[in-house]
Amino acid sequence: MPTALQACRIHPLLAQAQAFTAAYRSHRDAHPAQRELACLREQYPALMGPIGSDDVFAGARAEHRICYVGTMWFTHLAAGAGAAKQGGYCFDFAADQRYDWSVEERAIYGELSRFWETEYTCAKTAAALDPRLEAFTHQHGQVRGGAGCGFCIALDMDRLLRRGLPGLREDIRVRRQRATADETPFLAALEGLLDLILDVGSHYRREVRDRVASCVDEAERLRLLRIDQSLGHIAEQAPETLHQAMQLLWLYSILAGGLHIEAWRIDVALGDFFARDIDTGRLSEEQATAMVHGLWRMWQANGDPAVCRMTIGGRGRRNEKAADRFCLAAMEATRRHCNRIPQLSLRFHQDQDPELMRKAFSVIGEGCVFPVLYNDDAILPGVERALHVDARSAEAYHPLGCGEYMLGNQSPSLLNFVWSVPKTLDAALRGGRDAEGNVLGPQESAINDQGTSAEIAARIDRQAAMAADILAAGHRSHVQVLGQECAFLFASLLSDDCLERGRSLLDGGVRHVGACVMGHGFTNAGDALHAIQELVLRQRRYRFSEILPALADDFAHARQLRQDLRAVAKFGNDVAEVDQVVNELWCRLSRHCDQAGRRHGLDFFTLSSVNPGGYAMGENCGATADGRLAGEPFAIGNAPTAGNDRCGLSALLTSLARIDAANGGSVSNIKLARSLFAENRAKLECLFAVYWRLGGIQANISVVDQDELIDAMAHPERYPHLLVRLGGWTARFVQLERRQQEEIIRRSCY
Amino acid sequence: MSAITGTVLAIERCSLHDGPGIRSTVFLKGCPLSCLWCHNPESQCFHSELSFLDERCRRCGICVTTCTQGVHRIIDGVHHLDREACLRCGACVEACPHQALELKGRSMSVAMVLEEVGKDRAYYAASQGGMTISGGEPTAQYDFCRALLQAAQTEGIHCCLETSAYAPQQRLLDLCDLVDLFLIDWKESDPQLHRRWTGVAQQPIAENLLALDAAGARMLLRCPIVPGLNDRDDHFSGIAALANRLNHVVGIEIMPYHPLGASKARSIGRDYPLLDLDFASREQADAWRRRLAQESECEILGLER
Repeated sequence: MPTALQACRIHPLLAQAQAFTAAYRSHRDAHPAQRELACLREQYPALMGPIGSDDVFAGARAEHRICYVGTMWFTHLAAGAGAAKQGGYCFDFAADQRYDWSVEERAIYGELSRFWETEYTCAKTAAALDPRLEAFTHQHGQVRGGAGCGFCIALDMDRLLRRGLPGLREDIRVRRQRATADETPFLAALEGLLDLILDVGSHYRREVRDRVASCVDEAERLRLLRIDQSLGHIAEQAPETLHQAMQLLWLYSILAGGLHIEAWRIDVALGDFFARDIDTGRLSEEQATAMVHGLWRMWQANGDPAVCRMTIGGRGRRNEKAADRFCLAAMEATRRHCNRIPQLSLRFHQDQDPELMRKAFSVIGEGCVFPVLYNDDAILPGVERALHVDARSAEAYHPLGCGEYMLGNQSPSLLNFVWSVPKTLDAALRGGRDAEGNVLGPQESAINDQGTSAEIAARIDRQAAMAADILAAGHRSHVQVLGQECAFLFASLLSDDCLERGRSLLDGGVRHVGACVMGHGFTNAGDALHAIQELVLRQRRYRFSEILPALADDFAHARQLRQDLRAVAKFGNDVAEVDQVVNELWCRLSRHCDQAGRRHGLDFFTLSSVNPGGYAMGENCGATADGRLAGEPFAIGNAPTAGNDRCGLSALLTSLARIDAANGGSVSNIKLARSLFAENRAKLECLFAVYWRLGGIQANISVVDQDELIDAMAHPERYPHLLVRLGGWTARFVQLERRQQEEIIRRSCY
Repeated sequence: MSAITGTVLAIERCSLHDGPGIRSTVFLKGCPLSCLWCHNPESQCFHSELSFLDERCRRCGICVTTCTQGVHRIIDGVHHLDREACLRCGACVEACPHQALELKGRSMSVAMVLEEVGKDRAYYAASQGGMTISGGEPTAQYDFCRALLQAAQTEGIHCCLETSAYAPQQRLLDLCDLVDLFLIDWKESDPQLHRRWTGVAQQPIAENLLALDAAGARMLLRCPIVPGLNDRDDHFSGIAALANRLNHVVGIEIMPYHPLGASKARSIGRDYPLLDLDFASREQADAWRRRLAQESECEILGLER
């Protein structure tokens, strides 16, 4: 422990890191839950920031941190390995670059770094990985990742608010009465966690009182006093008002997550408070909505855009009417807020109050991007099959930002590997290597000119089976190490069935332990596979022995081949045959993941088709048989390759809806011009209503204004489906002549 | 189903502006009119045509070597086309690596068109949409147009026919039972100017509208308004008077001029007479709608009240 004198001479964050590290060292051999609690006591309230001038609630993250224990933090790995999702005990190995520290401070930081280099949890998960991973998860491989070990989890905020802190303490006390000796340290640590939350509350109450004493602005004084009253109330009772409920929810969220603030079913948790406060006249509808907006601002000020998701709506809500009222206010808050955090997602189903969808379209139409829409009618049966849970449990799904499925308060979402699907096809055709000779999977001879469709499938199976096995093993070892090292107390307290089982989250506590691989390039690989089936196997116009060298050569001497490959029907045009090839490829790879997950003891192991990374992953991938050149980006998520969908929005939606919901989830980005949205709202709603009925999973709809139209001229690949209205007709913007595009941009009326 | 084939310029799925609901619009090639402002000049000619987009051409010369008729020549970095010599075989289109060439118009059977149109049946049902046949002047391919309408009706698909109504009267009347809504392009109220803008007489069109109305045909008047040509007070009065006189006009839609026909005309080697004209502004279009509303008893689409 640093002395008081030392502490005041060195940077406070460094002093905190020292104290944190000392707590860790002195509890090195203690039970993981006790060690974590000791560290958390050095983490909070030390790492909490002051109440901001607009904050409606107490609880803010300090701008930086060096040491941290929690489920996820994006920061730098040791040995200059770049930033990654650290989980468990995290250390920022680039923190010294931020500060102009003294020699003495640098020496302290150097000593801390050396200690954590082998002790931070990512080092331990990395050391435990299957040795095959190193051989196959390289930059050019089918699969990549494993450096980070952080994970997302959505907690049971409904339980938090209904029980309150005293109720949770009572639950722990009751459970402790029948605890075995090996359960007691964990349960005792949970009680300690509640004390810590109270300490943080007291810390903020002191801050409030200090500020109130010197406050001259009456409105400011009232704002601070309300925070004080709510903190005082929730310390002793379950929340009764909306403000108290939000204060508790927010404080727990920021303590549990830091940058990563996931909120599952916030409408259920807050709906009753919202409705009651309005119905009893405590708050007007406007005041309540403004308070929701205030909560959104807290999210924005403290969270990271990649990991701040909120879901509302959907089947299986205990208080649907009140929750729906909150949903409308939540969407209104998003409309006013119009920011990328929090990422609001609306789950919906055919029996849901249609007013929610109408409100969603209004908010989206104003250019807010949110809510992202998720179709329960398609997704719930898919989740049942993909996650091997019953219908009731499936209702608890929570889509992450790219649509990956996880189960709210029943499973963490480990997402630490990516899969480049075109690479798998390449490996299948070339016998486990790419054209440059990089090893991608099991070695065999390349396909010869007698190759058949069945043989391609068998080859894909062999390559994918190995890739899936490596990834499942990787995730399993992550889970094991994380479970040994950390109790994840905040997550454990509000996840089924940690308390009941007396076990921490990843030490047998949480109900389902599953993982998801982020897949990229399904469309390119599926289109490529279909083009090969068409030109090589059906029409017999080309042979494998012509195609493989041409791809290796990036079509440098095979212009005609490339053109012929491009001319074959592509995904996104309502051509059932090719849409099915894309879908079956995804399902095939998902089956391998599922089987590998079971082999390695995961409750589920899925493969999603997701958003980011499509550009970067394309850079490391050679030419593909859909006509894509080496290095070109992959199509993003569940979408056609830019410019390949030529049959209009209805055809596109019909194709998208052919993708099975029983994989790992997907995103479908659709961009529409603002004017089109405004003038044809009813028809657009109809279009999407049919899409949902056909089984469409998800839609990420954004409306585009003038600046983005200019961007679309420069980067047409980002706006493949952008529709604009021209006089009396609708056109795809990127297909217009340059002069026409300029006219449209110049004329804001269209 | 009928074995008749037609020359189809394009089938646009998910059209949101050619009649009620979500529609598929089938553009038939060929038109007896030659409107100065035509925004679809490639639909005027009855046979297929070679379209060339200069900005896409990289002067690689592949079309030059592919064409057996010597249609393409590249001289001093300029791509010249001898369209007279073109057999419209499509060989150069297939060979062009830069998608600079396209054959506009292809022969399709009724069944082929209907297969495409039928794909969006679910969207039609949800939105009270359907198929719109447009052009060109669709009634100029009369047998095909009729067969297509018949087939669509048999399949229960709602049908709009977008027409200038410049056609033999009996033919139009014979289509009444097959068309749920006529989209009538009423271009000019002054008979002399009508001939000047469109190249044909207005009188048969006016008579046809009276006959269609007498037969109970539902009509939407769609009026292209071109600044400097027909944005005149007397024309707006003329439109209103016509609509007031007819019993089955369900509404009037102003179609503000846009100059996008110019580049299309260029691509098929045609002159476009209105090169100096700009987009009509939203304010201008709103003013036209308000002007029309002063005298019209019919609903004016898009009128902001």
